[in-house]
Amino acid sequence: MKKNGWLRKAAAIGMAGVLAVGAGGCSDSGDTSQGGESGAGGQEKYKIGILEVQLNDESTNRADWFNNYIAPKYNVEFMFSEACSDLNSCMTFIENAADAGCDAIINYYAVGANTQQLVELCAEYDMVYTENGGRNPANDAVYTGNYENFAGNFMADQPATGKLFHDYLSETLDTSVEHGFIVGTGNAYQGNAQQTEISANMLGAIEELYGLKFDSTIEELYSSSAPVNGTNDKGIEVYCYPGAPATSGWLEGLNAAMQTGKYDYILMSGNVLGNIMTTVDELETAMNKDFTVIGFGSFGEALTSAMNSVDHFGNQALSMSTVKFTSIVSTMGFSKVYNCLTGHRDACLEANGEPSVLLFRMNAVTNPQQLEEMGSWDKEGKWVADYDFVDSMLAVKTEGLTNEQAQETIYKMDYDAIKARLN
Amino acid sequence: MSNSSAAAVSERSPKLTLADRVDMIKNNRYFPIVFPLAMLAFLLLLFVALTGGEFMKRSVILGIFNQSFITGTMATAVAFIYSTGNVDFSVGNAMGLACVLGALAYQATGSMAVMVLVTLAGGVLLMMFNCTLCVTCHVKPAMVAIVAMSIYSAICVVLVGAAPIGVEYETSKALEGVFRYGSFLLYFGMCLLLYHGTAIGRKLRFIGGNERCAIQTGINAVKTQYISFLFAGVGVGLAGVYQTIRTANVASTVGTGMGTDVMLATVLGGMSIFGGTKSNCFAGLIGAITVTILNKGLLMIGVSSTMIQGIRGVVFLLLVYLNSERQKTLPSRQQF
Repeated sequence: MKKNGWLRKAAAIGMAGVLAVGAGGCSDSGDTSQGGESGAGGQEKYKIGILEVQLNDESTNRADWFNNYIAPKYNVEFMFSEACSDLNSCMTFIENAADAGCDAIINYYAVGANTQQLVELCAEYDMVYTENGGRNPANDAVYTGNYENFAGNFMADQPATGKLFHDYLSETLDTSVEHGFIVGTGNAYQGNAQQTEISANMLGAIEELYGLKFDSTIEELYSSSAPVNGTNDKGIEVYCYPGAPATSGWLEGLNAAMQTGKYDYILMSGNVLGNIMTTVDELETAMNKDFTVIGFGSFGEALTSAMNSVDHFGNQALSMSTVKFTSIVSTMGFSKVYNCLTGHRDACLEANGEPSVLLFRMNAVTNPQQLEEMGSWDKEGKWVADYDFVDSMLAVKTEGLTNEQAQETIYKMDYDAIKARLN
Repeated sequence: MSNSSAAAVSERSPKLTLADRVDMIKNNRYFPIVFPLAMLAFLLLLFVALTGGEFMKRSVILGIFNQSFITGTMATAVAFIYSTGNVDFSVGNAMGLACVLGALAYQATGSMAVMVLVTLAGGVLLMMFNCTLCVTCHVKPAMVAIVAMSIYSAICVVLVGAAPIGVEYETSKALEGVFRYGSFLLYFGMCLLLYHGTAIGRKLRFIGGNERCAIQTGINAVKTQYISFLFAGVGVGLAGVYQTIRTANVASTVGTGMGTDVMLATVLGGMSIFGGTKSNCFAGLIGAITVTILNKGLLMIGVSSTMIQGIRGVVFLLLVYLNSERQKTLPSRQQF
């Protein structure tokens, strides 16, 4: 018995050793000070830390684009974080990235209220900083102050995203029938800009299309941290349901609301398709009731599965969602820090001299064919943001580049333009 | 004794196998202290070698302390609770709520001193509440932790609302210097003294080892456990203060998941979360520093973050495996 015990222990130690050696093999020969080094072609080599908020299909695709497409061409090395879930973990990664020789940070943990702390921290380590998120009034000092290391923000054009949902409901909702709506307001109550805009647009569309008047303001409805009925003068059932699947009891609460039988439209402002579609399917069968699902989404298994599934009544299980092209978003972050690192910070500033917020527009997707077409883009060999696009966002490649020109370039990358180039 | 008789005795003695010798080392009373320290020293030297000395840079060393402070303080605090065999993993949420209360007090008064005092008081009161449920109301500690986690996090969401509560950045950074180091050393020194130099620590370990026996020897288990939660509360409050001054704002999610980090740090530091006679109050700090060194060192030598998660898991399992005590008779609370 003892011999077996020792065998197990030796195996455990051996496995750990193999893993550690293997990991060491993945390393870059222990060189920890590569920032600003001269590369093979005489081009400066920079190391950029990518702060991820979650690890999913999108972040994997992003890492692929950064590591395999961008890194060799622009002589840049990338270092990725684990999933950072709070400000403390963000700060920890930034400190570690600085010690590992990073020259800049691209932050995908979009909580605008934290910008000043992170900009200050990066300034301490002489690192350039940009983040995926909007400008928060609480951080005006970062924009108006003299933070030379701050390159500004990049984010989705949230009003445009919200409008996609408003327009879809306007085009498809049959108001001659009295529908009931569950509006998943997500983290709008915590100030999440995307979920705020989508929730506001969905509620606004219901109000306009039925010509009703809510007893509360739309802002009060989506800002509530507790579920609230959107009572109104037309008696249309509207239930605003905040929170996210990670919140204990969230899915059970949604399930209970659906089981009341009052609602047949499930409108979700957060990316929750992977969490709710099974529940929707089960309740459709159990209650023999047709639910229409519309929700924010992103490329990946959850969206593909939802869009390609047929429900109990033979309809498309997911009626409408949204997608974005990761490489376009990543180009925005990359161009901001690269322009600063190469001495072209002016290209990251508004006309008034404040760091800019670059915006991209999301795309609506309403059928599996469209999803399949767009899903086949933005992968190795078919990147939406190719070298021409990236070059047009870099001041070292595009002489005299301004922030306005960069913004214009991004807006030009719409569905039709991408399709014309890639198909 | 002559050489021949010594040889005869040696022949008659049972021969110890290598496994027996290792078991003897593992069962040595100092092993749980020395082994984690040895691992810590080994990792430190390994990364110093692999980074060509970069790992000993001032910024790196300071970074290690900065990143270990909060978990280390919490783990030191909860050692008092774990020692008695109570596993309270709601401490992260308790810390979060204490932070929120302190930040709200700061918002109302604009005084950092008030923020510090309210956060400390919050930590103490919340832990005393947990203690009352466990010790006086006799609710199982695990159940208390589950319920407390939900209650505290719900209160945080309601109190914080949409945007995190900001605390003045410059003052926060100023407190990160002398105040933080001084208060931590004071608290840690006090814990060391109480836990290892007074009857309080002995009573806590005795209760953790065998509560019934401890009571029969005249120890007031209720009073002693209240004392343990009191000291834990001070640590939880102090960790809350460190958290607030590090981030200079408090979000509704603050402290979520911290309970697990504290448990991991404690186990990595060589202490059983089920308490008992081999408990100590510095294991958590050693564990927290070990995890930080591992994360930072691996990143500095260029290992990817996904690989780091795997390596950390393997190292954690390995340490727990080597550090754990497997009774050959009846199972005891000392098992991990």
